[in-house]
Amino acid sequence: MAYSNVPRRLKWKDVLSLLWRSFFIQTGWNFKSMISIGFCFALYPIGRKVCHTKKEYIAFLKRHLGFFNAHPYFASYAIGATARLELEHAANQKPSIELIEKFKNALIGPLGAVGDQCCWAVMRPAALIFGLTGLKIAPNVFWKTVVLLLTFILYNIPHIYIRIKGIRDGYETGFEVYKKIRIDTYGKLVQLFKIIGVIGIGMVFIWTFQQAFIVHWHVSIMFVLSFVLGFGLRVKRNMFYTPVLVSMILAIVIGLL
Amino acid sequence: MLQLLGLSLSGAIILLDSTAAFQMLIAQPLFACPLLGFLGGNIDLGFEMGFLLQLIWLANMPVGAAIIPEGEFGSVAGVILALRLTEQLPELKHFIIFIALIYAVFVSYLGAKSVTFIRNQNQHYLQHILKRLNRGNRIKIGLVILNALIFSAAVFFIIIFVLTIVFENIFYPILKSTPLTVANRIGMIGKISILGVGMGLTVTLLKDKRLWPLYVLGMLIGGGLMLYGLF
Repeated sequence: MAYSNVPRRLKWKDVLSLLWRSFFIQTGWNFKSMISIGFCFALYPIGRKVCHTKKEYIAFLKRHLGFFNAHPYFASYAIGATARLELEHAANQKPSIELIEKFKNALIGPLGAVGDQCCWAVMRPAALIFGLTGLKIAPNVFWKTVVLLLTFILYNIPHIYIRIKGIRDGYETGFEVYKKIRIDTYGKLVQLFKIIGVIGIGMVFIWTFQQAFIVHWHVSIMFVLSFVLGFGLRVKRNMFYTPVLVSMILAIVIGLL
Repeated sequence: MLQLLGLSLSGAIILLDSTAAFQMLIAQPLFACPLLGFLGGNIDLGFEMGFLLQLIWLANMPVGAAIIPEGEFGSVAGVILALRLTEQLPELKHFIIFIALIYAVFVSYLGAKSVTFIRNQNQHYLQHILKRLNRGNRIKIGLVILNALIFSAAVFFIIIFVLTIVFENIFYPILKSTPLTVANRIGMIGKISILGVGMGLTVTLLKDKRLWPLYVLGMLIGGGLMLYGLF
């Protein structure tokens, strides 16, 4: 469902404007409307285009300050698509405001699910493991700084790519954007990060064990004990604080003996 | 005092990257600790704490709207305290790192509370905006965002600043009275136990069975590099 009189693609200037604002999408995060304040801020350049009177502008803000939530990176799909629909509505009075709101609500689930699976569950931990591995290899401050820069680039190039692609795809497809919001779209990227992350974990594991082993065999037992505690309680009970605190207390007790 | 003010302010600004803006990993301990270490004049300490804290928090990062104890907040507070204490007692570096790690874990609870507080305040902003719009007044949405950012940073700044002063005064006499050998022993064993528990938590990530050969490959590469370094 597409309506005429609206450019098929966004100009780069507009994409960059939406991109910059999308970085603040979670600034006004609240329990009532979640990320709606940030979403409204991101759409402001579109609001300026479609609202010609004060009344229209107030109505625009009010309808986008309703409940909305999404993964912060993948919210750019909603920003792009809503931008298009708002422009179409201003040009043709179609689609209706109600339809735009229903459409936004329908996007909440997929945007959150795909974003969490892709970015929070894989990309972010994998990039950080890459950084940890690099810090273990790097011999001095210079190389450690280089590692951090590489980690930053490794994570943020895909991160910003997702945001830009989201805005552009969302704008170009409008209502059809749901076809683009799939984990398969980023399948290769996610797979690459998984490989980096898993190999990194293997490497860091061996090095940390070696670090414990070379001190004293008592200390390597402490390492193994803490490892088993952390792994076991995390897998069996999904605990975090208990293993961390117990191993800290154990370290104090053994240190005092 | 001026240094503490500067570090707390820098920490508060870095923490905005956690959820309020950008989310480019800068608030993660791996980046935040060396940055603060650099600003505090001890980048090595920053790297060391960044590594250990990242290892602990890696498996416990917030997803979506969930509020869990804020590891990023705890890490920033922890590294600032460690920087302050090592400046006064450099011979107890390892023990101070261990104490700062324990402190970071406890303080992360306050981080979670501060996030809830900030989100409640944002709700007040929202209600205020809606009231003004219902009265037919224009609002500048950019100013709302700026206010929310400043408020978040201010909350982080105040909590970190006050906590550092309080705990510096609590820990300093304890550290000073601990015998050096005991302190070093606890520091060393504590660091190893953090590495162990951190690895135990981290290996639970990416636990797809199809990836197990890659774990082994990683261990082989790591082992190979280790032997190459040894011989």
